[in-house]
Amino acid sequence: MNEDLIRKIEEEGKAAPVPSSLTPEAVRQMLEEKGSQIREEYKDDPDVPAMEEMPVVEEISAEEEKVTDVEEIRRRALKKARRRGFITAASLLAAGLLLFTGVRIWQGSRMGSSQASGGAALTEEAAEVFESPAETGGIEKAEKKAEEAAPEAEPLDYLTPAADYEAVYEALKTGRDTFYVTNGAAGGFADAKGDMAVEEAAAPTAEAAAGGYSQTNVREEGVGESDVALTDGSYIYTLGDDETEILITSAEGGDLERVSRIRPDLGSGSIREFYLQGDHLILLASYYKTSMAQTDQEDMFSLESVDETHVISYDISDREKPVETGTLKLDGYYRTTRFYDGYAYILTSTDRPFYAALPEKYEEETFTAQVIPKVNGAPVPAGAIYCPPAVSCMQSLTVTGMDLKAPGEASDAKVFMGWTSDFYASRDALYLEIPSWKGGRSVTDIVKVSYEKGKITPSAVGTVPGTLESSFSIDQSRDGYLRAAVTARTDAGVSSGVYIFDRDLVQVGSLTGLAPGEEIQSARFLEDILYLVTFRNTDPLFSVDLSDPEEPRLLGELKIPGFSDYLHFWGEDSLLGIGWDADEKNGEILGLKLSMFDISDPLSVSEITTLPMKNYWQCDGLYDYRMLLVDPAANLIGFEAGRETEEREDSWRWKDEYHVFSFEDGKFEKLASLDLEECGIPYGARGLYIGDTFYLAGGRRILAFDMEKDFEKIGEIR
Amino acid sequence: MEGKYGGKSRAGALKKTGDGCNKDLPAKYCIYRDLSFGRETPWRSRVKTKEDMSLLAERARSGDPEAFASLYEMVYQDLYRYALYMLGQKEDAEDVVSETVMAAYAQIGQLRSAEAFRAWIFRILSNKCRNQRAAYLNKTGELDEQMPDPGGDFTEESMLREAMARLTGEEREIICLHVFGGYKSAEIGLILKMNPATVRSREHRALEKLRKSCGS
Repeated sequence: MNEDLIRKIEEEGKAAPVPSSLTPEAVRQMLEEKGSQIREEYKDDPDVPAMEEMPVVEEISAEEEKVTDVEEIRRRALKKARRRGFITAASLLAAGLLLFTGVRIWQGSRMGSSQASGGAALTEEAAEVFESPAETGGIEKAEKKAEEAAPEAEPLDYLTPAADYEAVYEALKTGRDTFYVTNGAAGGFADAKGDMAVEEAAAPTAEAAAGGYSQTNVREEGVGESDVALTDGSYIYTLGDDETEILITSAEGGDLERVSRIRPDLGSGSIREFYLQGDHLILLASYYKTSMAQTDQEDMFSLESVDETHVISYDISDREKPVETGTLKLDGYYRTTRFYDGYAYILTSTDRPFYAALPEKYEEETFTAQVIPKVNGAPVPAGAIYCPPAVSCMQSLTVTGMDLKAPGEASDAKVFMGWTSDFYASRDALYLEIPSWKGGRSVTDIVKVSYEKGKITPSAVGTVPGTLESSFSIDQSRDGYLRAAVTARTDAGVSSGVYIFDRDLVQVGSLTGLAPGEEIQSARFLEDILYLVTFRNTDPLFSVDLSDPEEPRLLGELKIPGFSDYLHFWGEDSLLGIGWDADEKNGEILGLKLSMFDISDPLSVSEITTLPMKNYWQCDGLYDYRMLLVDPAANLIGFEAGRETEEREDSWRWKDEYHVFSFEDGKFEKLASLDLEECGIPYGARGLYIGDTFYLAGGRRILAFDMEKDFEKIGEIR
Repeated sequence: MEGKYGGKSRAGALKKTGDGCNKDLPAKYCIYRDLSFGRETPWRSRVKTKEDMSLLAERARSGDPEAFASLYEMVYQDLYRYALYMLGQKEDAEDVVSETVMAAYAQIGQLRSAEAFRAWIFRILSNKCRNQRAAYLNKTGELDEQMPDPGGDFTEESMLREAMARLTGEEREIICLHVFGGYKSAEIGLILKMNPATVRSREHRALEKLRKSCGS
């Protein structure tokens, strides 16, 4: 339904004539006449972003396009593998369900962390050559030199803090000179499905919700995350419709009663999400206030804006009277938070003026004000700022710790210069993923930041030779090894691989060449087995044995149509996949699909059942795992999905529904399909449960359904 | 091949400068996929060589007005429409696009590739539109997200544009980035620093608002 409105806007837009001064011919003429004037006048225009900050969709080379016949590739790879005698037993098992993939399995060389980096070695050459960007020829020379220099450059160093602010300035300046024109410095945002998970994904909690109520779906068991709708078994907490308040509602079966609301002062900002621990409620919000200040000239005002992230703590021991206990103010915009062992670790990013505004000379006061992030008003000291010798952009990430018992105060704060695209948190370390460009291709640098009791310390740096699809793609094992499922793009094409790093992020083992021509769609690590989904036209579900970090082994492959975007362990022996059904021959997506796999024997993974949901084209939970309700102990699977329905010829309606399934006797049973429009929750609906009552919550609305009585509606509140 | 803007052939435009290197289009063509975010616009469906595009970028970087104008031609309509729907006023839209063009030309030296031009100039435009919106201040001196009454610019046919004026700035921006920028929700998420699900739900809400105020 919204599609036709979009089209209407598009059509109407086309009807508006472009003024004659803006036609290409007019522009060309203007530039010919006033080109140098314009260059002079606009050369420092702050609205122009630096090229390397632009996210880039990976270029698909002509060779890749030719790779269409996956079977052919497999056949060739199989021939090669056979010659080397690497056929695994797995390939010969399970008639009809397993396909041998002809994977080239070879040991990764023990590589140290000596990957080439666009770092210090580039700077001299680049600095020589690159004095004024507008000069013809200078740019091409810089590019060539940068490319040549790349293999010899020193590794990134995020482990030594800056000596002083000037050192940070130098790193920025060097970065500007180095990366200003070289290719793709901060590129590499993989666009596999047309969408990228900016938030992280989480590991499941296999046990039933303590006390029989639903919990936030988190990435890593034991590491808490905030959300927009929660329950503690007696109350339901939701983020109000306009995101300026939190509503606390008591819930007893179908009886819903609004108890209180929390409405902090956020200027014109909004609450992003919140976290509950016992009687502590912590809000993560953006604070935004713009005001005018009179300048000397009449009728001229300067705009001053405050753009911060506020971490606001409340004591809600009396649910009817929440009391604010402290506000921690952080510079920058909110990324995410992780909660562990009574501490919160909040990640914020700053977005500073672009290179055009980096002054030629270092001046402490302005530089500090411009670039150094503040925590509760105080700039983070240089000794807490980490950056490589050349920083490719002005973005930085701040990790701030807060003791939940000392609200409003930071226990520690560390800043990492550069653009962190995604993160993963284990119980003792935060892994920052920083896209980079080395040796002519996209790689991802990983900075391991250890945390404990509010103290934050970077402890290792490593590089994966490709991109990570989501935060499910990396995982720390119990003995501290970091495993990564990586999509690599080289001139030879796309392929998937698994890389294993030790505690110091030194690579110790790898398994590459899995499914050549295919990208990783989803991954899930269970102890020492990795389940990996790639996709071209069909969905090979690979299982990889990681018990020996130096020798990862492919155990098996299951080939089925479509692919799973999200994997979740279901009990001990099964794996739930939520994803897309596709036509086997051409890979065309047919709709959503639920699958359950039997993983009791990783050597022989099979599909127990699948439930296609035809014409469902949207499932936001696949981009934010917290929107999913997956609770094996309670046997509930809940998610929002949207579909098209054809009511009349040529006219489509879009329906958004919240679906609840259970898994019974080897089949998915649909328990409910709630029309979100009727429920009055058009977007962002969350499914929760307390005991036998299921609640659909979104903004001010909560609806209660009796799970014992076929989801009969037994209450609601607006 | 008219060799003029508004004409059909990219090659024609390049030939006009008398640049010898591109006298004959190379025999080998590949369908050029525009790799800077988004959907098809008319010129992209034309067969183009990669050599053409990198030559264009090279010349644009060195400040050649014609090369710049060629790049601009690929996006200029979308740029204007984006500004028009964001700001609601023809004059303001014209000014903002003009400023954007000049800023882009002044800093074109950092252009990485012709493919990157679109996203880059859209980013400039979006920043400038935001500044322009920030200049619409109300009496209390705080930023008012809603635009002032557009006045005589609207006819019946542009009820949509008027309805857009009643959305919040962010809602308008999401719709404009989608419709005129051609960005997908993940890309919009990167630009506006939200996650894609939030982008989609906000867009959904915005479109619902629009539908109600247009009564369609």
